[in-house]
Amino acid sequence: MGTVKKNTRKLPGVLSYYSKSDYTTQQKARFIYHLCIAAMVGMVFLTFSSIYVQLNSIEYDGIFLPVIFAEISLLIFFGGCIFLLIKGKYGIASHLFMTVAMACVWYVMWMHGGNVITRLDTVVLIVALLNLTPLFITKYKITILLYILVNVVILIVFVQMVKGQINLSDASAVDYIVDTSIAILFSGVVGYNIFRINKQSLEKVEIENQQRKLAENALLQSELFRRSVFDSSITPIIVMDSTSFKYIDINPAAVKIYGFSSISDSLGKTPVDVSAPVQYDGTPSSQKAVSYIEKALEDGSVTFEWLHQRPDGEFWDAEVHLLSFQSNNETLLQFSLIDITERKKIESELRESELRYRLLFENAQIGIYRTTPEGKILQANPAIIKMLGFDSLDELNKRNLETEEAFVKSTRKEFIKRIEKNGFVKDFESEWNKKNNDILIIKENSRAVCDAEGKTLYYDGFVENITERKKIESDLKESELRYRTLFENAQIGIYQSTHEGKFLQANPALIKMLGFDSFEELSKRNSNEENAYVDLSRGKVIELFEKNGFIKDFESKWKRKNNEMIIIKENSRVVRNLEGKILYYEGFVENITERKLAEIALKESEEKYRTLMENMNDIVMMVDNEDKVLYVNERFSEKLGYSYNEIIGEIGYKKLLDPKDQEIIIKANQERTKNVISQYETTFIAKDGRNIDFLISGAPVKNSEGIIIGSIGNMIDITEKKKIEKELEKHRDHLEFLVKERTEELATSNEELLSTNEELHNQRDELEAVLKNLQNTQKQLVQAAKMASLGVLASGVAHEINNPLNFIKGGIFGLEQYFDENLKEHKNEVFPLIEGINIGVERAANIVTSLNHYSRRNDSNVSECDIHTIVDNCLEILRNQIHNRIDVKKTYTQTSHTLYGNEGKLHQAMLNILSNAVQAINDEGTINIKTSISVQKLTILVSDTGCGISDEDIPKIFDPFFTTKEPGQGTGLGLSITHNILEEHNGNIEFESNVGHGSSVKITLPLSKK
Amino acid sequence: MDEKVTLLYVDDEPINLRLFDLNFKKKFNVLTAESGAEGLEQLKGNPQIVVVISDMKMPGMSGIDFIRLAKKDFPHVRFFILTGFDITEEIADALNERLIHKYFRKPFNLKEIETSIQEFL
Repeated sequence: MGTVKKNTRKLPGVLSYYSKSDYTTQQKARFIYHLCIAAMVGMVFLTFSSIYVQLNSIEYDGIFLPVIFAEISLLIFFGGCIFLLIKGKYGIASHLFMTVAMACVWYVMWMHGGNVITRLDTVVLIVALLNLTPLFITKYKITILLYILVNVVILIVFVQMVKGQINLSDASAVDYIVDTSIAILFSGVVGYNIFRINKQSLEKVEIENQQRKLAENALLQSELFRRSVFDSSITPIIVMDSTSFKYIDINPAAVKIYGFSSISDSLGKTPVDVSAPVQYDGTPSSQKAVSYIEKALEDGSVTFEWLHQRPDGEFWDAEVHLLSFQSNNETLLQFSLIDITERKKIESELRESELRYRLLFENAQIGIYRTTPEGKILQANPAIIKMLGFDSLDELNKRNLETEEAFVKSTRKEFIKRIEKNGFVKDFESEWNKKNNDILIIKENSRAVCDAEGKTLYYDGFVENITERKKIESDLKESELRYRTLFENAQIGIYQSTHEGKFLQANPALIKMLGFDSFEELSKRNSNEENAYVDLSRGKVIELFEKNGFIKDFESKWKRKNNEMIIIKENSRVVRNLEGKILYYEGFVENITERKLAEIALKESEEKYRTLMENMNDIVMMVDNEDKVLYVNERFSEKLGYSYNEIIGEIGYKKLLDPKDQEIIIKANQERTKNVISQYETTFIAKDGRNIDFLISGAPVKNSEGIIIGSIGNMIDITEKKKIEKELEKHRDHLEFLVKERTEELATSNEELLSTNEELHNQRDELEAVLKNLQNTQKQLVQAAKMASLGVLASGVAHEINNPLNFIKGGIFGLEQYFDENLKEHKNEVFPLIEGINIGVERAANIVTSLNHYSRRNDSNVSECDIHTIVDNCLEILRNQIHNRIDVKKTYTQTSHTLYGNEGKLHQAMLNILSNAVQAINDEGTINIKTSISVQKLTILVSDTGCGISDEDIPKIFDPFFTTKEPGQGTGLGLSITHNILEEHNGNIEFESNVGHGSSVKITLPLSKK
Repeated sequence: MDEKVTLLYVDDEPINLRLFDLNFKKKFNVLTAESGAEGLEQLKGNPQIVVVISDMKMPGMSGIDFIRLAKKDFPHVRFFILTGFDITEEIADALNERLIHKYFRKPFNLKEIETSIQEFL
């Protein structure tokens, strides 16, 4: 078994099959392999040697085939053995080798023709082969007996066969057989036993070895496990010496939690190195640590909380489990740590939080309470106590909510109902009684707190005092109502409209203004689309809104529902939200149609009268009470040389009058303020310095309230007349001078003087008469001129009135036609109205016609006049004075009569006579007008039942300026002019009067020849 | 009457124009002008006008002035004056010259105007 020692020898490559087999098998396989190879080499050598021997030896006759054949067969068998061996059939290969080897031995012995002894001794090879058995046998141990038995049998047979050849006795043969058989048997048995003993001892060694290995492994595992647990544990664990308190072992978790850099860094540290200077109760850590360690040593273990500090200064909390244990007769301490920093923090936060809520509860503005369903107050914070006017919780606790006194209106039942149903109440409003019985309006949010069985334990709630808010709300509501009323009842239109032109709101005034029946109807109209604006697009209005954000006193024309136009004035603004987006427009609308139309009418009227004034031949001047010039017409500028702008605003008398003449104007102006119409003469100084004499007729000017604010004067240039007058004066003076001279001359001759004197007297009387006549003439001229200017005025006015009358007439005609054609059923009701308007127009037209006639200017023109028409015209003019007071009876001739004359003047004459008659009648009375014809003459008799004229006054009535009226009421020129006019027409006038009974005037005029 | 007579009414008062149109549009084809100048243009543009009625007092050109001008170009047209004034010399002269056929007074008498026009046609 020398090969066993060399256990490091490698297997030949071809035996790789056995690489995983046990060591013994490997060695056996290797041996068989080499044996086979050696046998094959030996066999080749043997074969060639046999061939050589057989060819050269004389014992053989050439090649002896049975030997050669056997040798070659053996060679092939050994090859087969190697093949089987390589294939892993070790057992079969080894048995095959054994069998072949034995068979070969026996074959040689059998077939060998040589010496018997030589042949018999070969049997030793069998014994030698049998010695191989321990090497071959692995399985089928019984085969060893088979080998022994077969060999013994073959031996016996062989000996029996050859004993004859060598003359061997039977006893010797038996002896040989027995000896050889014993050798074979012994070799086999010994070989087998060697094999068995070897195997058994090997197995034993193997088992022991395995057991030792297992024990070693177990030990190793246990130590690793303990270490691993220690190192990988997430629980920090430290082992400490019980005397020095130094750390002798520490796990990574502990290193980490302590904040050390490594295990080696941690070893040798003491508890003081990882602790805060003092513990929770203020004891220094070293002192405290000693006390805990003593306790652990005494009791075996102790658990406590410890405040640690890391090298970087951070504090942390841990629960420490400290225990003592014995190791190698040494007392050691081991402790584990649980980081409870978070827990501590939460605990502290919880404490703080509780404190905070406590504070909140105590200081909240909102009331917080807890009550039982039975109405007992468990908790109430100061806010609620204060809200209810109590001094303390104890005082409030006496109140039971189930009693009526707590609530103004009993809302408790409702509250209970809702909270029991839903588990909460939200925004529940109720009214509570305060301690002093004031009402407290509150809003509460409460919830029911139940126990596990669902039984309500108590109610928690928050109470908000909304008394003030409620009051504000109610005030607000009232205020809104007030504004709403204002909105509804305002006379002015108020609206809100969208940018798109839709009305959001419109008050009744606006709806009415626009002719709609309701807001709904109005809101259907879109201002943009339907072009509500007549004169401009709404776009223009929007543009103004965009530009300024408002419009102020904006005038525009709107369409009403019926498309009628109204003029409005609007004050509106844009309302925007915080982002600047337009929300709507809102504004006030005033209907100014009537005002506007009135303004326009006024402007037109003013323009007309201005034209009138400007076109007049006379000078017109208007001044205020201080004589400041307000207006002059063009004639003024022409006459006096001052332009309009030069004179306006000047004080009239200062600018235009010589200082000595100013007094008269001042006086006249003062008179005017007493509503006196006056006429006076004065001299104006023109711009170029000329003196111009004027006859001024001044009348007061009143404002709309009837207050006199100035005067208007009609000025007639009488310079020429004045000149004549002056010349006459001069003449007179001259004459007087002559008279004087003559008188002086004649003084020398008395007689001559007397006669001449008389003559001169006569002359002077004559001259005076002439002078008087001249003066008279001049005054009449003045009046005539005045009348003439009135005539211009009247005819202008007539035209202006006729136009509006035309509108009315045209309009009413149109209406009449319309009714006729379309609304016949209304005809009966409408026609009287139309008739009334027609009569009115007729009458107005008549008055205008009369004025026209009266003022007809064609002085020089003589035309055919109808005296009846003239009388009627005059009566028309006087209608308002006659009306309802005087009964006018007209007795005209059947036919009308014409006479040649100046129609205007005849009107003037008749009007004077008739107006005298009217004025003579104080209250009621009658005027009779009668016309008659006699010999180309027309007689008009006008008689009244007035006051009459006294006999002494009758001769004076035709004198100019004779009047019985109050100063300022009449000029005293009327009858004088009448007289003159009638004389001009070759007529005559006679007066008869009876004081208290009336007067009668008889006018005679020649009729025109046909 | 299958074709209405076209007449032109000249007046500086728009209301008068409107009323005139309203009242006569059934009987006549009424054209209007606010001034003499406009009246002349209307005449030029509407040869079918056969009757012209004009106000007397108008700014710029008086009714007679207008008619005098118009008569030159449109001798076949009949001219009338409708005035708020009483008859004036100017009107009397125009009547005498046959410049106008008649003068009407304001407030107008519609029947009178209508019959007068019918007469002259």
